[in-house]
This record gives sequence, C-alpha cells and structure tokens, in this order.
Amino acid sequence: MKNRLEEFRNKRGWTQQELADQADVSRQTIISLENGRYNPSILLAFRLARLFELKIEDIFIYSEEN
Amino acid sequence: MNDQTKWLNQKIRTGWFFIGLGILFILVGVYFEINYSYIPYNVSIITGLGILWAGIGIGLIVRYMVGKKGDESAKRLMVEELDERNQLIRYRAGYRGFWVAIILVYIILMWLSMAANGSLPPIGKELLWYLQVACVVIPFGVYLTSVLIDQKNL
Repeated sequence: MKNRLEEFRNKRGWTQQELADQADVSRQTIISLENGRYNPSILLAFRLARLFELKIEDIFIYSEEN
Repeated sequence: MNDQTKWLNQKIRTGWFFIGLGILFILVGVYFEINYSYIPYNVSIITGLGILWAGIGIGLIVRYMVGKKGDESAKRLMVEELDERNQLIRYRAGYRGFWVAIILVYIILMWLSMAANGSLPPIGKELLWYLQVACVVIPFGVYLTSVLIDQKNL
C-alpha cells in the first residue's frame, strides 16, 4: 500500500516527531509508514486521516498489485 | 491523575508484585534447602526462580521510574510501549520464539521416548540439563534476534 503521508506532513510543516506525538505513535512508526515498510492498522489510519482532516483514501492508496 | 500516570503506577505496582513474589520464592527455596536438603529434588530451582522474579520486578520498576520524571517522559514511555508497530514486532518475535521452543521440546521428548525403548542412545543427566537450558536460551535468542531484525526491516 502506498501513502502520501510525507507529502501531507510536509504541507503542514510538521516534523516526524510532531506527527508521531499527535498520533500517539513512535517516530520510528512514522518513518516506517513514510518509507512504505509498514502498513498501519485501520485505527491508526483513521487517526492520521483525522489529523490531516482528510479521508483515509486520500492518504493511503490501495492497489491490487500489493 | 492523568492516563499516563495511572498507566505508570500500574506498571510500577506490577514491578512490586514481582519483587514480592520473588522474595516469597527465595524464602521458600532457602527454607527447603535448609530443612529438606535430603529430598531428591533440586530445591535451588525455587530460589533461582525467586531471584528471576525479583530481577524482573526490579527491572520493571527501574524502567518505569524513568517516566516519573515528568508528564512528557511518561507519555513517551507509554507511546513507545503501546505503539502498534512495536507491539507487532514483539508479537512476531514471540510467535517465532514459541514455535522454536515447541520444536526443540518435541525433538527432545521424541528422543527420550525412543531412547527409552532402545532405538536411540540414552541422554545422560548432564546432557539433559544442557538440553533443558537450550530449550529456554535458544527461543529467547530467537526472540531477541527477531526483534532486532524487525526493528530494522519493518
């Protein structure tokens, strides 16, 4: 699953640590998400979407190939 | 009292519980070692378990006392512990460690039962002791290795 987390985070001018603090996850989790190494749980995906005031599918892009 | 402080206090209470349990085991172990040294059972295992429990308790208290420095460190500690990626890494490591332990124990039990009917050479007491140690140490090693690898790759 691809995501646009880094793009939206940069738009807001947040650091990875600031986003991690707001989402109640570790900075390492944000790094892994942005690198596409880790796919979030549905709860975390909702939390991140709410933080950016977007829909989940705006941030996380599901493709059948993955 | 905020959520972090409640969570921290609960963890510290768990630490104290382990210390209490450890002291109890140590006392029972020492009592048996002094008064029942003739029984054909290595009672120092009970004392050893007590030292292990007490060690775990001290470890927990030391770890979570760090969070008592302030709300910020308490929150960081809680987030690190409850972080879903860290939990996944621990679950995966536990799963791998569990199956390695099961396989090792199964092999040893099969060997023992086949040795009992003479199909395989018997396992001496000393070797059996080392095999038992291996059944604990190897899965733990697998757990730690798995955590380290997943921390890097996940």
